Amino acid sequence: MWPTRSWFEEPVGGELRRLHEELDRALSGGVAGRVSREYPPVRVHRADDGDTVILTAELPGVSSDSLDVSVLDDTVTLTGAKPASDAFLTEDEREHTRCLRRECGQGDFSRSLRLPFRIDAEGVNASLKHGVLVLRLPKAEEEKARRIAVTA
Amino acid sequence: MTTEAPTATPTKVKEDAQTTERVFVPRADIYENGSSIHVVAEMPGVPESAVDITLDKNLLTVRGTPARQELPGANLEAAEYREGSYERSFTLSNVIDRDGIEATMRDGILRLKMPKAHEARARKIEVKGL
Repeated sequence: MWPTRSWFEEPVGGELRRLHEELDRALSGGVAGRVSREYPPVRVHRADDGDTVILTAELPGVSSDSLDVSVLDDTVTLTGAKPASDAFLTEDEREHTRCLRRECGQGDFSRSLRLPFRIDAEGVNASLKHGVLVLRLPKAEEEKARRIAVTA
Repeated sequence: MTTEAPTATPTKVKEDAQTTERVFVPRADIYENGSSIHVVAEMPGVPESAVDITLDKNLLTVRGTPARQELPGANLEAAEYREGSYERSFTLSNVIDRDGIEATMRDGILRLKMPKAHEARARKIEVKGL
């Protein structure tokens, strides 16, 4: 069986949360507030055979050097740091610079997600491209369904 | 472990009637120094080749289309963010040297450097003694 709502510790619908965020933003005059929520936001996909979960996460500005992916049993943890946007300016440009508008968040993050199966840690594949992480998490071999030959 | 969770989800602004493509306003930080103005905008998934910058009079518009995330044989089970393209416009004052605008894209972050026109830069006036 594939559980439909057991992905997250807090299975609140993303849409509802987004609505709250938009309201927050509107009420605070467009300034990004420190909305407490899990970071990074993810999308969860299941492969047709049910034996692999594919997670994608938006991590703009996070380089592969500053992202750590770890797997233990049925839990995958994403840990890293999102740099302040002035890290994208050169040293010269940063000098005597003042910030006119700040919307992008920054800081350390850590998020754990529990899957409905033990993960084959050796088979995990992670790629971070253009600020989007794609994480393939295969089911551990011993948990896969096996076809049993029925003898007469 | 306490973490200060950064927020990075773009806000939906409009939905194209013809397609299901969503357009988001990318989050942006703006910096200024004596010689230039810098815009740093979050456009996750957008490769450098898919950024389009147009300047119409004083209106600078940046658009980004993310590379399609092809996941063959995969079914979406839960989504905390939505996919779509990005678009945002900035009104420039006439102090910008339009020919000198530079744009670079890295890790889903667009950086725009807009040098101030020479006459707009703060000048140090030397006071000469008689």
